[in-house]
Amino acid sequence: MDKKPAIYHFLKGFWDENPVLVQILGTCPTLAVTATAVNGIGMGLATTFVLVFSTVLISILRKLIPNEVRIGVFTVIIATFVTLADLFLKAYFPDLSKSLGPFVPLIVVNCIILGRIEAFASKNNPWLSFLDGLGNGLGFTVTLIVMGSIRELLGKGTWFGIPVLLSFYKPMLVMILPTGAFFTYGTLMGISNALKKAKS
Amino acid sequence: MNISTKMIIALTIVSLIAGFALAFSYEFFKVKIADNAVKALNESISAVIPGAVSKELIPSNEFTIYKVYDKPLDQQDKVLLGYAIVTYASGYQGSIKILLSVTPDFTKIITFRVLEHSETPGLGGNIVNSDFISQYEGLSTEKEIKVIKGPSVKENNEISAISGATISSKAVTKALNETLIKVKQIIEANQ
Repeated sequence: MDKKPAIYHFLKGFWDENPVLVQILGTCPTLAVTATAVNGIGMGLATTFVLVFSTVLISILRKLIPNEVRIGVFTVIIATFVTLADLFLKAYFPDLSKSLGPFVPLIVVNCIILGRIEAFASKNNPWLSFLDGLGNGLGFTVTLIVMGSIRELLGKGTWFGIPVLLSFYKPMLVMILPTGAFFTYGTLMGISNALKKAKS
Repeated sequence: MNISTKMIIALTIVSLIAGFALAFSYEFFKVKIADNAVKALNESISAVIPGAVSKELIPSNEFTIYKVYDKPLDQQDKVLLGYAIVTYASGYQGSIKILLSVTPDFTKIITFRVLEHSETPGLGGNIVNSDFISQYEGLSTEKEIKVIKGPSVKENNEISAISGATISSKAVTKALNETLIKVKQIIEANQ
């Protein structure tokens, strides 16, 4: 049904159809957990894991699931993978799990996942769905890392917990508070729109 | 087959498989998660009572109180290093979980650590800093600890509030004062 090359479905998540900056999906975790770069990676990879496995599984099952109950079935499948991711983080990365707090279980209602499943996986074959899920997940991760890095650098003067700005820099506290998340998000979205406009 | 039967079958099968998958994986991760919790507790007890090797729980409905020793519990010559108490303060934005340590004769605070909090970063969040915590070290448990704005005198059982975070400073102090009175009674009753 789609004439575009398979690789496009992987690459589009990073820039052309970036889930955070273009589709404006998953804004809640984007704003909430990006106070540090490490949190950005953790949240991004947990979401990618859920996204890849649930899009592939749903794509395989897409012809067996009656249309009327599809949202219910999708939610059960997503919730299962989210719980697995949550248990895995609690077992092997307890510190990261603690700092992400309730936002890992909340991946269940992250609209990137349901959005990609509704818009793509329920209509395409497992291979394309895998590429789409992976691309969107990693695009989400990269965006969270960029946001986390900016906020951590300006708000704490560190990057991945390592002090990088010289000691005379006085951290702008506002950047690690919720307000700073909105500043960073808005600025990034503005830059991305300006670049796209300049290109076309 | 009509549509409702199909819907019921699809949802039932998916939920059953999901349920089994989660039950098995929970069994698998459970041990590791419990280990992490024990390890985290032991690490924080060692942080508030240096040299801690073993601990013994004192039964209480309200608090989690541990007697902390320098040698394993089964050794006769073990020495009581102090008491470690888990308590909660109601802070500016939610509850603050504190691990407090007190000397074996229950007269002085050794130190404490903030285990969990949701105070404002940079203001109330500074309750985790050693500058703030060290003010409490060695304070008497017999008198009430007072929060002072500006310079405080340790001999008068006073601490200086963090500027811009008086509520958080007072919340911690209030919780410590109340905990010390109640836990002292529990420990005396236990002996």
